[in-house]
Amino acid sequence: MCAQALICIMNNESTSQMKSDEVEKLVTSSQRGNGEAFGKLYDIFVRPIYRYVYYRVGSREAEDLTELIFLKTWENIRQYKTGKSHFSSWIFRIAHNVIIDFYRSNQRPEILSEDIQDMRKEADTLARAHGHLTNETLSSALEELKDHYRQVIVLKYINGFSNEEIGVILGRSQAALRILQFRALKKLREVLLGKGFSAEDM
Amino acid sequence: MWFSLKSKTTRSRLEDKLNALSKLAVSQEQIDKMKRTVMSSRTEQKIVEDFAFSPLIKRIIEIAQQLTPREYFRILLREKLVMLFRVEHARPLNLIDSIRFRKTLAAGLAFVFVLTIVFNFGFGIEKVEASYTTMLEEAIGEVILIRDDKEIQATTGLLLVGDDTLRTGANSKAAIRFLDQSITRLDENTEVKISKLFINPANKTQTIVELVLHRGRVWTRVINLVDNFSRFQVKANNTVAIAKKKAAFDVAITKKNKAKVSAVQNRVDIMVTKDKKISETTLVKGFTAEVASTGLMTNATLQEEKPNEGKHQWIAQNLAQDETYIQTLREEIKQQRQDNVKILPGNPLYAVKELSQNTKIALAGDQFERQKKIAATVKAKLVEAEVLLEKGNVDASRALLEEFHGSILSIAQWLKDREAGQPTAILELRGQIGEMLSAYEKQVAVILPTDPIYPIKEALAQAHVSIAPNEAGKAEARLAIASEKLLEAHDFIEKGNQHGAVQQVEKYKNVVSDVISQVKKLPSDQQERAVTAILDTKLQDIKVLEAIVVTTHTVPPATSSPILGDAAIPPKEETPPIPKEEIDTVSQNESKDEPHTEFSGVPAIVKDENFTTLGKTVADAKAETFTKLSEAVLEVQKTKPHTEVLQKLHDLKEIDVSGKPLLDLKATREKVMTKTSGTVTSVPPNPLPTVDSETQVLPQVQP
Repeated sequence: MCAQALICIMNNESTSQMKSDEVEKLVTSSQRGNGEAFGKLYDIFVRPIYRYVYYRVGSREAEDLTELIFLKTWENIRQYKTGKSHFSSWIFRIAHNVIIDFYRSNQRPEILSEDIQDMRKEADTLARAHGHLTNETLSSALEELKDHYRQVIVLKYINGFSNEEIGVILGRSQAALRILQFRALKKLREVLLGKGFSAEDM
Repeated sequence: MWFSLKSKTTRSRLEDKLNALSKLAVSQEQIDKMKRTVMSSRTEQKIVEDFAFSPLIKRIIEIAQQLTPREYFRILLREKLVMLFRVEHARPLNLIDSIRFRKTLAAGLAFVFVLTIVFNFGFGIEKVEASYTTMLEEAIGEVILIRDDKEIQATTGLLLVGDDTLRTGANSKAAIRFLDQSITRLDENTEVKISKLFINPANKTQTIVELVLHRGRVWTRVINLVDNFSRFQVKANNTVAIAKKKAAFDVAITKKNKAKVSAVQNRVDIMVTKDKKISETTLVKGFTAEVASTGLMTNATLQEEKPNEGKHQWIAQNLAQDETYIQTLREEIKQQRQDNVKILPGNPLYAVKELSQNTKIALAGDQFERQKKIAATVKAKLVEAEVLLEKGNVDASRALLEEFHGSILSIAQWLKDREAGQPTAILELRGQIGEMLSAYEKQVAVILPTDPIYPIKEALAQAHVSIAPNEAGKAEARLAIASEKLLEAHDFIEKGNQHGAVQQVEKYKNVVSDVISQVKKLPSDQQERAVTAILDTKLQDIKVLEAIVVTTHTVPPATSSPILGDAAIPPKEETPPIPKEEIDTVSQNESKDEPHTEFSGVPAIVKDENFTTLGKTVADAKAETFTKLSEAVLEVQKTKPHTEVLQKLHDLKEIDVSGKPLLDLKATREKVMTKTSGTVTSVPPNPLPTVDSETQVLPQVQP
């Protein structure tokens, strides 16, 4: 494979790179035991996977779960069948399942000390004062959404998947996804307006 | 109802439904209108969706694109996955492949094995911190512990807690080592209660220890309370003796039931309760105060212990034992360092040790936890530098010190970049890093400039300046450095090193002058805070300066005298009285007939040249400090009156040393005048041609 093409893939994480033929070749090579090819696959997907996890579960568990997702990918890569769906959909399906498992195993709410200040409120206040959306504010607003709203926003707009691919990842129809996206965005905007952001800020 | 009109099936269904309406006598025109309405609604919906949310979507994408995992994490995980992949997926097809597979597996296992060793031995992070326990260091004879109304025979090594009471019998002694590393020794027939043992959970270098003396006598040596919050206090009747930073003092209840407090090294503050009022004074080295139950305080100089009186020389023995104790503490810390730091730069395994440290950082939870671990790793470098200095490897330690300094600056920048977005979290992290540095400082507080590991102490002090959040904070940190110079000067004097003391006082003067000069350049919102900090610090520094001044009036002995470091007191000489016209009208309480001397009862004589230089240096330091201080106060007052600053100035004026006021002061918005030790300083100077600009007749100043 051309090294420059690989570098291009690694530096630009748009969905098109994740779905490119080069990725499928790397997968095939990895399935044959080529560790370096697997490393290159990792380089392409680590940032999108990390962002997906980050906006689904928060910063504290993002690295742990990212590592778990790639370990599961490593374990099961030989089960991936080229042509059935894109590898990107396949790996994000794993990510989705890992997060669901995480939710199930962490259902008991954490008892917070009264002394701990809600930093999100601090971040929100300052972001409002500065009049622009920040990562902390976005993350905080996404947390207030229902999980299915959150996941569709992350997959569609943060990870850049098409509805077809999101349908594969989440196991939903595209029609349902269109409605879901609209409602999710509407709800997100309501949350942000509720936090004091104006339409102009967004 | 929403449905997708992209689908051909759905469009044909729409057509069918609309065509069915024709059976209801709806005209074709109406049907077409309905179709247009539906199609238009769908388009509008799409427009609404696409455009109304477009800026939000764009912003979400922009924000998300900036989010990336940490480099440490990303690289380490990649290495791990590739290694696992190679080991797992290698298949031995023939003998050669088998060998390659076994080599790969062996290399992987060796790597894991090394990492295991590294983790198990905990390279990189200093594990042993200051001990926070209080225990009975020594018990000789009859020593009884009273706890929960039960009495037990106390033995050496017994851990003590708050509300414990210790009692010594005849010919018995005990020594308590406290959580702040201070030590108290009980004389015979003494009973003392540990009424408070406090550590600030948010900052473990901040401690308060309080004892209540019921009867007898206790000696206390406080050696390294690193900040102004921490204190050690002994209550006796209606008197509380409070020591901060470093001090050695004695508290006793006399046969006449008076509380007697003696300051033997540095100084101790005394608070006396009388008729629901509290009076305060500071005893500097060499002074003692007896307080009656009525609250009446009598100050006097500490009298020489006569060999024939009593069975032992209490002060001399305790001074000697203190030296041994301090030396023991230093050796303990030194041994801990050498035990914990096994691998130093130059060792082949040092790279593995650094990898282990980096791995721990990479595995940290969130970004704040990562910065804490980075700070801990950086502190570990300082420990390595200390061990190298102890071994005499100055070059290697210098490299580590530079690395430490650079890393601290990086951390400071990281904190600064995120302060606006997360002020609470950043403030908390700053405090945690500051506490980590202070805990280390506590362990090196007794180190003097002549010690080989002194650069460590300087590096720590400078680190506090680097991580200060703003210029006012940096000024406070630099003032702390200045105060420490003074304490070092005091320690030098105790060890008989006058030259060292002079150098440290000079450094103190220079640092304070620099800091105060910088006040003028600060933004106005930080000026008040900086000046308040300066005034607070001066309250303490002035007392230390006075303690040093007292020492400059004594000379090394020709004959032996057991107190005050065996310093003999030379005969008193007459000093000419200050001319009447120079008498300060600001100070209303001084008698015009009384000659001005430094302290009542302490001869204003300096015979030795070294002491002359030190005395002059201290006097210059005081004068310049007050001049610069006055300038700073005027600078702050230019914009608007700051009540807190004026209050602090008032507090300065209230300083009482050994029963006498230390200075007098008058301040207005245009002028600040101070008088101390017979010298009047005016800022700005009053341009009277007939008198010296520093010594002048003061007009009546209206506040």
